Amino acid sequence: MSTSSAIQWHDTRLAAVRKWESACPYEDFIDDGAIEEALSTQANPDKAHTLAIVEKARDNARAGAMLSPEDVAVLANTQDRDCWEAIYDAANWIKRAVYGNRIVLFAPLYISSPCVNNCAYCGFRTSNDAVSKRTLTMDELDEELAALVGQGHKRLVLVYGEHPSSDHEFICETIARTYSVRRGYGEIRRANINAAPLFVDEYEAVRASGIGTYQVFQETYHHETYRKVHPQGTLKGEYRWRQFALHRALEAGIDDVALGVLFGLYDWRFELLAMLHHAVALEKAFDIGPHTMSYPRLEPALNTPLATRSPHVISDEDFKRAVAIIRLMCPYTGSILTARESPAVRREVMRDGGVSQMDAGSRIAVGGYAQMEHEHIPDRQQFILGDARSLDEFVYDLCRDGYLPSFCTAGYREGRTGANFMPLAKHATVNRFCIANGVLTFKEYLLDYASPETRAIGERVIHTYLEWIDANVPQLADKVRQNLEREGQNQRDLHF
Amino acid sequence: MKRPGITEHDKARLTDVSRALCDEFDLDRLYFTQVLGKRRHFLAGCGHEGFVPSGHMGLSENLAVFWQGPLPERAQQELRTRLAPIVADIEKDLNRSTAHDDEPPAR
Repeated sequence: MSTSSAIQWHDTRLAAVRKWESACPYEDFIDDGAIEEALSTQANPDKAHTLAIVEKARDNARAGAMLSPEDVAVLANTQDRDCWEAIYDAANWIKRAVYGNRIVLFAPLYISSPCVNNCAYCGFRTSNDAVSKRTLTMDELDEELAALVGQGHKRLVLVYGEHPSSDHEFICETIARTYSVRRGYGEIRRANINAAPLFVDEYEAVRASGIGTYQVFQETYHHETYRKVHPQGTLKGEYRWRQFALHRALEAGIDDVALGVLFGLYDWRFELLAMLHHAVALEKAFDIGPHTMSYPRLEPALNTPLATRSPHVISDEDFKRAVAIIRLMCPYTGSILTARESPAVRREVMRDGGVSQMDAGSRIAVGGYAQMEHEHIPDRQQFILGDARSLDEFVYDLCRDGYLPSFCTAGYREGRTGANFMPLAKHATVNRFCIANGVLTFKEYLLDYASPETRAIGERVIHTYLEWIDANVPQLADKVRQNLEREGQNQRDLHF
Repeated sequence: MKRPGITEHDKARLTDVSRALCDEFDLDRLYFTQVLGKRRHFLAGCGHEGFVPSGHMGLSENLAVFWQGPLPERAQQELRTRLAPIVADIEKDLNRSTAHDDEPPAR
């Protein structure tokens, strides 16, 4: 339970949030009735019409367009097996066309779990005494970072509970600490943030610390469900405050923002259309769409019955369908599939869903990386992890399936952010940088961290992608090879 | 410390100057970024992405410039000199907004 000072902080903040909402300059972009109607109108889609939409999605990948809500409703309602095969094929094709056949790797780092909210599905909810909550000290953060950097990670998503002990100033302090750590050649080059919605001035402070992407997930866009699972009188109970969290981040100049849902709270088809409306609203207001979309599934958590009893739990098959439709509806956005899923599901969804980013070697207990031998620490976790493979095992499996594992963080260090990044993703040209930088960062991993088996298969993968660069970006080919040689002479962090 | 982005007015100035410099130095692309730790945060620029290595240099504590196309050392110095007045103006604006950090936010 929260302390009296946490309750006071919460009440003061809630009053400020409600004041913001009363003067909110934006209109709610989710019309539940209209979304339900779109889904029911397209309940039995025609096969030829469905396949035409799939072709349109392929065209959109180069034209920078998104599908319409009606198109997405058609895809989500499709029952025809041939149509689904066409959708999976297109999702894979679009992902390769936009980003190349690389998977960007990252790790989540849970920094704090105390939370003033009481979300019905979350193991960290304030009333759940079965899960012990804690906030890392700076020394403990150093230990976590040492373990992550020692694995070879270069990109993290830092995860925080909503609590006075992890306010925006604490977030800034931990980001600075994260970037300051060096172990041999190891360092964190990009720290993305998953934290509660902030006020604009707080976002400005976080922006100044040099973050990558700021993630806020709506969890569910369905108003009634949102009210049910996020108790009124809590900060997270304020729908509009959260709905426009990314708008405020963009107002503050954070131009890489990420949205997401928690599949299993409500009908997945509804959530797909809602995510599309969110992307459209961001583009309309700022001319910048979501940098990534995430779609974690509800997973079991200690003393959290809703996590297993929700009437909207999404099957493996529907989950794969949803991920593939996300790729078709918004071709330019990064698509993140997390280690909540089992290795078998991840392998299949990665291919058929057109996934572009995945975490690996993950631990989700606060302080979990310092105890890597423990795959699960249920009484300190938000939920139970599905994939406990080590980073090296995961990288090996990616290579076996022909993917290029990438630790690339080049874009935001070369000024390809926001409005400078979007056209490259929207016109499917960013893959030229993605593959070149992916090869260079993967080579670093092979030199510094990989097991002999991974190094052997990894070198073959690099050879394959050098041929891709020769054929598709000949102007970079010589420079990539020169930089690979420089890496062999112990130079690091070379990028385009 | 809060460090807001630059104003729309300054962005427009940077866009204009990037066009002029691309013409003058025969560059394919030139753009400005704000230095935020390891992040180089895009501000404004012009030209076509050629998917070639970019040259870059720091202009001040908070600003850096990237370019694509040949730019010999001497031309880089000239570029820096040409940009000095606008860089000084923008630094002044950034420091001015930083100085107001202690004011309570409007909520």
